Parts: sequence; C-alpha cells; structure tokens
Amino acid sequence: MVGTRIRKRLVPGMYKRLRLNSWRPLLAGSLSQRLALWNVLALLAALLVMSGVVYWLVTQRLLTELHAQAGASAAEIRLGALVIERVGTVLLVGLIFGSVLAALLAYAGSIWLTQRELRPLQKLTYTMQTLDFRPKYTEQPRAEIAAATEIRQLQKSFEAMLARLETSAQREQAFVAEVSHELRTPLTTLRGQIEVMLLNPDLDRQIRQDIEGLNIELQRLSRLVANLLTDVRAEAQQPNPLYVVRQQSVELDLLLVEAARQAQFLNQNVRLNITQLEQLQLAGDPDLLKQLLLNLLDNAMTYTPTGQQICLQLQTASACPGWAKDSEWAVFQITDSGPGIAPDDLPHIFERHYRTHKKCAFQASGNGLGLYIASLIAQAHDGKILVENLPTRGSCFSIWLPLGK
Amino acid sequence: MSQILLVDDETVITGFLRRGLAYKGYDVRIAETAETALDSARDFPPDLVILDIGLPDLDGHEVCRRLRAGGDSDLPIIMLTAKDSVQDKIAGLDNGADDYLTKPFVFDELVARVRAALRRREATARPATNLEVGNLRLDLAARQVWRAGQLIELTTREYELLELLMRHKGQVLTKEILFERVWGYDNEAGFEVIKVYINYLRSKLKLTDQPEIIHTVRGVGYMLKL
Repeated sequence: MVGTRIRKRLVPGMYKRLRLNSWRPLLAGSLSQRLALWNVLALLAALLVMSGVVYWLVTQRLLTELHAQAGASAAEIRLGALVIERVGTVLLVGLIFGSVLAALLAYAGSIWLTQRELRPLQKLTYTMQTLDFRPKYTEQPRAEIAAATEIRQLQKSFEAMLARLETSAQREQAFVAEVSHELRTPLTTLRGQIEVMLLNPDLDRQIRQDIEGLNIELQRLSRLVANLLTDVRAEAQQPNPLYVVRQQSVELDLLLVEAARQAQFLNQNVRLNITQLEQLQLAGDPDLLKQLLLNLLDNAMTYTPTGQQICLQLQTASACPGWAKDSEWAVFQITDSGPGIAPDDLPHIFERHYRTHKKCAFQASGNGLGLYIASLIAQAHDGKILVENLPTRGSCFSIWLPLGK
Repeated sequence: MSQILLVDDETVITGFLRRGLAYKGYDVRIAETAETALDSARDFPPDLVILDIGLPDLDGHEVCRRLRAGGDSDLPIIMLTAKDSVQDKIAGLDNGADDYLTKPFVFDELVARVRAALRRREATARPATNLEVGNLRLDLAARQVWRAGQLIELTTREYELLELLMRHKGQVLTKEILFERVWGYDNEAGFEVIKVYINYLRSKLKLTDQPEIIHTVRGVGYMLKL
C-alpha cells in the first residue's frame, strides 16, 4: 500500500539517472544491497553455529541413549553408533544447506524491503539533482511521505534549506529588476540631453566628437539594462518565459529601419545595407521585437571586420523548414561577413550566458545574454531563429515570425 | 510651425525635450501637472500631445481619456512610460493613445514618431483633392490610385512614395529625401530599399501596356513625369 503510493510519485527515468539498476561489486553497491549483505552474513553465521549445536546435541543425546540400552551386544552397539553417525551427517548437511537457502531468501527479501524503505531517499536525491527552482519547488503541493523517521527528518531539512535558497534567489532577482528599472529614468535623461546637445549646430568639433563617444557608450548601457530586465522578466515567468499580448500591430519594415539606424549609430565601421524590405505587419510587442533585432545586429556587427557590410532583408515566406504548421511567415535575414560560427559553438549560441570559447580576432562584447534574449523573444512570438554558416564567408541569422491569419 | 504639448513632471526630461524639439522646428509648451495640461489643451491648442504616465495629480491614462473626451478626437497622443509591463501598454492604447514609447527611448525615434503622427493628422485634415499626372490619378481622400481608369492596389508605403513623387512631378527627388519622408529616417541603410520600392511601383503602374512614368536620374534620385 505504502509502496505503491510512493512508486506513483516516482519520476520516470529516475532509476536510470541514479544508475540504481546497474550491478556493481557487492561491497560498493547500493545501501539496500549492502545492508542486506551484512544482515544475511550475520544470519548465516548464527544459523551455522546453530546447526553445529543441534548436530552435536542430537548425536550426543542419541549416543547416550544407545549406551544406556541394557542387554545390547557389542556388535549391535557398534551398528547403532554407525547409524547415529550417518544420520547425524545427513542432519548436519541438511541444516547447513537449509541455513544457506534461508540466508539467500533473507537476502532477497531484505533487499526488496530496504529498497522499498529507501525509495523516498532516492526521490529526494533525484529532486536535488534536477532542481532548478522552477516551477518553485517549495510551492508545489506535496503529500506527506510514509518513510522512516530519519528520512522524514532529512526531507524536512532539505525543504527548509530549499526555502532559504529560493528566498535568496528571489531577492537577487527582485534586486536586479529594481536596479535595472531605476536606471531607466536617469538613462533616458542622459541620452536625451546628449542627443539634444548634438543637435546644436554651433558645437565645437572636438567637443562634438567627445559627446558622440559618450552617446555610444550610453546606448550600449541602455541595451545592457534592457537585456537584464528582459532576462529577469523571463526568469520570473518560468516555465513560460515571455508572455506577449498580441494587441498591438507592429510594422516590421519600420521596425527594421529603426533598429538598423540605432545599430549603425553604435558602430560606423560596418555598413548596414537593407536590400529587401517588404511592408509587413504582425501583432506583437514592438519594444521586444526591436530588442531582438538590435541584439542580433549587435552580434553581427561585433563579428564583422571593419569596412565590410551586413545585409538586412525582410520578406515573406510560406514554408518554414522543420515546422509543420503551414502559414505565412515574416522572415528577417541578417547576413554578416564575419568568420562564421565554429561548429562546436553552433548548437549552444542561444543558451543563457553562453560565450564562444575560441578567442576571436575581433573583440567579443556582451555578456552572453543577447542571443538568449533574442531567442526568447522569437519564441514568445511563436517564431524561431535559424542560423547557418555561409559556404563562402560569414553567417546568416534568420528570424521566422508567423504572420497569423 | 506645429505646436506640441509636452506633459511630464520631470523637469530634466522636459528641459531637453523642449530644446530638442525646438531644434527640430516645433513650438513646445510644457505642462507639469494634469490640470495645466488640460487647460493648455484648450487654449494652446496643440497639434500633438506627448504625455507621461506618471503625473503628480492624475494618472496619464486619465488625462488621455479626458483629452479624447474633450473634443478633438483626432489629436495625436504619444505616451511616454518608464514601465514596460504589458498591462500598461494595453491600458495606454485602450485609453486612446496613438503610440507609446518606453523609457529609455532614443530622441530621434521620438522625433520620427512625432513626424509620422503629424503627417497622418495632416493627411486626414487636408482638403480632399486629386493629384493627376497624365492618365495617373491619385485620390487623396480615398487613398486610391487609378491609371487609365483602372484601380491599382498599393501598400501604405508604396502609396506614400507615389504621392510624394506626384506632388513634386517634374522634380528630381533624392533617395535621402524619399527615405526620410516615407520611412521617417535619414539613413543610408535604406537606399537599396528605395530602389526595390520604385520597382514595385513601376511594375504595378505599368499595367499591361502603359508607358514608364517614374524615371531614374542616375546618381541623383527619381523623378515622375510623362
């Protein structure tokens, strides 16, 4: 009864993950195997001692009775002693066999019982291994475990520890969110003031250059703050990262032009060239979509050598590769002329905080959030980002967003 | 000169916005409270309102609703907000804002939005007339284009490009001017785009047998003439 209740709550694949089924040398085996082995060895020793004692007592008793028989001839007594000795041997062998058999049975039974007893422990281990704070473990409903006192205590301590960890993780998240948020107003003011300063036609040339330098750094800072905020927002909404209300119609061609303008401003050494710009609209979040484009443009510009160009396209496509859904797609393509992406890195570039290991000839900037955030935003709009290395040189990022009906 | 009413209680922000918009040729009046904003909306009167959500006396959403209720239903309103929560955006658009910008925004982007909003207003306010060049006719009221008696379907950007060319028929328009006027930005990234759109227009205007009406002036730009 208890066993089945626990088994139901076990996670499929758990045994494989914990490698509990693999047969190991007995002494290095699982706790249940080792406990059973020690128990059975003790049991076997006791049974063997008992068999010896029984053998000795029985034969002695019979021999005493034989000698006490009056009127028996010497030959009869010899015969009697022989019979007693044979019977005693059979008895001893039988007892030893019986003990070993009993020990084996006890071993199997003991393994089964202890395993059942230890199952909550295995579940706890599995939880610890796979824990990633989402969905919040301490907020999940849990049934009272039927288990030994020690295991229940362990479980309780683990939960208390987890609660403390969760609180501190939440506090950290809230802190990052609050700081990023508080940074926005001063950033707006700073950027606005600097941009307006630059509008002044009477500005000294040297001063203008310096202010433009400041402006570029400020825009980088705002980009970073925006990515941090989106990251915090996505973390807080696990497992359904970014929720986007499709209320506003976004003009994708204007969005691309604005993103290209902002990106071009940050880096004048690489030329952005829009070659296709279909007039497309979709329902989504314009701020997030612009952030997506800016992150990918930043990435492309980082890896494109000075003097080269990046080609931008926006067009429709009807079939997205590897996607069963048959609908109209808006496709942004960003083709850079950088060194391309190393095959080892290719599957990982959209992971959070992933940065390529290979030292690049061009400075690698960012904190490993840009592409991760970009993929989150694409997912939030039911789209995806595909990357490929071009046969000649450079790589091409395509953002596929469904246009809806 | 277009008049812009700027409603925000943060003097640093209004300070640079007023100066920047003045550089761009707009007449700006500042209101720091909702009450003065509603007064100014009556006696200034603005062609466009830039409205911050966080005001000391009233919520920006409420001001937006009252401005809309107060008569001018076409008055373009651009909301500024430091909050980027989904609910805020929806509330802003529900209450009648035409557009919103999340802080920190880029000043040039604000100017582009202002320009676009004013252009839309101008387009609706303008007395409806037709532009005609040969057998090409553009109906400004219905935003329809006819050639040789046949209706031609154009996208918004194609229409705006054609309208611009028709208003300046016989003049050469540079790619810079076309891109700035139609897409709202002065950015050389888009020069290729102009070529693409001119080609869209040409193929649509050609119908089956009509002569070329948009001409390329090599190294300069484009010109519409018979």
